[in-house]
Amino acid sequence: MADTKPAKPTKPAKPMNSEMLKGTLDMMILRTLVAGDAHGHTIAKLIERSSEDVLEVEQGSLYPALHRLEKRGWVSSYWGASENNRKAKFYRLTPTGRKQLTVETSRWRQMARAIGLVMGETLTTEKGKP
Amino acid sequence: MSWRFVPRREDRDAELRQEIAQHLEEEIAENCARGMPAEEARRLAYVKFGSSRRVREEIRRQNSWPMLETGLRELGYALRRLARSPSTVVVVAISLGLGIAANVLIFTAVNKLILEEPPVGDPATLLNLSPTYDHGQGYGKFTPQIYDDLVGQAKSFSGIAAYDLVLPGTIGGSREPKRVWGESVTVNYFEVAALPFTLGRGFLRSETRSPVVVLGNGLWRRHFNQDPGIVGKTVSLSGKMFTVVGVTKPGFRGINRLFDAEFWVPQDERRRLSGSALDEMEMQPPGGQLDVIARLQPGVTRKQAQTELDVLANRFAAAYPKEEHGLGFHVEQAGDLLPSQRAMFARFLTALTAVALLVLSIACSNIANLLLVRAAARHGEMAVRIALGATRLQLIRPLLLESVLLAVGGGVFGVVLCLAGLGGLTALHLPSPLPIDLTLNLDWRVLLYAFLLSVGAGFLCGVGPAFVAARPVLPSSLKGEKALDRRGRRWSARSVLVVVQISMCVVLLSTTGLFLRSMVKSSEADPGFQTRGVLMLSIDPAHNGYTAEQTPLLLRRLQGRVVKLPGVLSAAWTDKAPASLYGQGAEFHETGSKANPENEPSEIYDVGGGYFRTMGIT
Repeated sequence: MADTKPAKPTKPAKPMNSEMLKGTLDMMILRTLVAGDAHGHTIAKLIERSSEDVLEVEQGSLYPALHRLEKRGWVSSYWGASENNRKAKFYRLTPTGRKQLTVETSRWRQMARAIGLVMGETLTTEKGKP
Repeated sequence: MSWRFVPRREDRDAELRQEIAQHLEEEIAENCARGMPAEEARRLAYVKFGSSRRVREEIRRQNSWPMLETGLRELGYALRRLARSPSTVVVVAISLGLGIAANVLIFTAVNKLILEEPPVGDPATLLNLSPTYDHGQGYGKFTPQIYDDLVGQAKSFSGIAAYDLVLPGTIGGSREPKRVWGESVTVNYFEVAALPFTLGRGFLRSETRSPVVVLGNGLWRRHFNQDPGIVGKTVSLSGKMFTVVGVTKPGFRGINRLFDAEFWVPQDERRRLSGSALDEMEMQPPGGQLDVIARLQPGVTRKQAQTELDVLANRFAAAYPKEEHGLGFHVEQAGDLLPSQRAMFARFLTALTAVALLVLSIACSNIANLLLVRAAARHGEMAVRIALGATRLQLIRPLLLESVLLAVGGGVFGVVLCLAGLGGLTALHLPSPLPIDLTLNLDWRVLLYAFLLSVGAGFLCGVGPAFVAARPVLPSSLKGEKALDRRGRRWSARSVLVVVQISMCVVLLSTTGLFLRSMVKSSEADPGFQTRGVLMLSIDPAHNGYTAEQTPLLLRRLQGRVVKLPGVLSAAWTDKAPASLYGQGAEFHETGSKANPENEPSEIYDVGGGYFRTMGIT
């Protein structure tokens, strides 16, 4: 199944490595599900689109993450019909998942702010460059 | 990781595959909608998804205990490999089994003498008290006087009880009368010991002068056919009638670990059982003869009790300056040996354990050698596995597992051997006048010891060979060269093992030789009397209703008749056999000179006419 052909040259290199993504991927999945139940493909599309295609998830890695979240009880799953009437597995945010999302979001904000503070100077100098 | 995922892993995987397929279809449909040609749409969807196999594997890993699974797989592999070489298994099981059996057998003794708790209720708060003399120099027993004073004054204990020296008795009934040993105890003995009963109860406080008896479980089983209605029946004990009030739980043989007591009577009944003056004199050592157990008050620690006992000891020593000078009290967990006895047994058992461990290590080095050869034979296999990307740990683990399995097999065989050995030991009858408790049992501690010993031995013999096996010389092994054909430094491991084995064998052989020699020596030693052709018969006139006046008459008549038997040259009676361990002694000194307390007391034998001729003492 593995495709040996190199990806299209126009495609930008993956902006985030998988290790770094792992923690945040869970959070992003939970966030996506706030809007309503969705199946794997929709979740992947939503993450890509709402990040303005910066976060291009390797779609396969979504499923181990979904599985992990389900085992922790943060999402539940059921089989239903997709938009184009195919049988698909839908994921739904559970109340504990919602709580977890709040926790992770606030932690993420703190982290982003902290990183921003550290990087602040560099960012401004870069901006100042002609 | 949770259980529920394991059994239906296949279902889950199918579901996941369906989910992935669905995802890809969506993606392809979307790509097509953007106007891509079908082939390109398909290709891009797969690229974007990544390896679906990896996804499935990752989820599978999430759902399993990887350790457990590889462990089980390796266990199966090791078992299959062992099944293919039954000769190795048999050789290892026998040689390790012998080594382990020797160790376990000795450990049963350690267990019994040092580790096992007496089967009393709440052993932690039950203490053994013994008086010490000369400021802790020697251990003694309680005199009735000190015991009564202690009961009257000690505040740290909720109960204090005493038991006397072992007491012989002849138990009658439907079967042949049988000599058994028991104890006379204060009536609160069973209460203080909080002893559980199989049938009936202990003594009541009012039964100080009642002819009642508590039977040991073993005696009840052997002599009374486990009669469930025994309580309330009367049995004949040394010709006197006693009412059975209880049967103890199996395993209880009195608080003392060494003696094998099988019946208990109230203290004041002792005189009725050891009626004759002869017995009284013989069994009564100077000083006291009571052993004392005491139950701590709730909330009182052993230290506090010891402090109180020290105060009391000083008070008693002052009250009886002549008899109890330098009195102290020693406190010990009930059923524990006295420190002096314990040191003696510890020395003896340590020596035995050292020898047994030596035997085991010889077996181990032997097996390590065997495994080394097997390991070398597997270099080809290992080289292939390394080439396929196995890590060193992955190579070593199954090998170690194999040797541990082998050793556990040896352990099982060892325990079986040990059981046979225990049967033999228990059947051994020591020619001792006192009832020494020789029964040894395999309990959970012994089995745990055997198991740990086997695993340890397996690890020890397996670790070297496993490392050797996991380090094949890759190029030559892959070419199929046999490591054993190669000569080189690497194989010095085998030579070292052989050297170790031989040197340990020499040590063991010389030790065995020494033991045998001293055994031969001691059996050849001249005891000062004729040991050949002398037979001994014990009778118990006092216990069979003969009065002190009738006894000499009986003995004379018996002697007269025995002498007339064909083949008998002479006969004589004595109160005890030569070289007995017990008996009355006295210190002799010249008339006019002063008694020297340093002198060992001489044993006194009560003998009838013809004794010296019969014993061949000239």
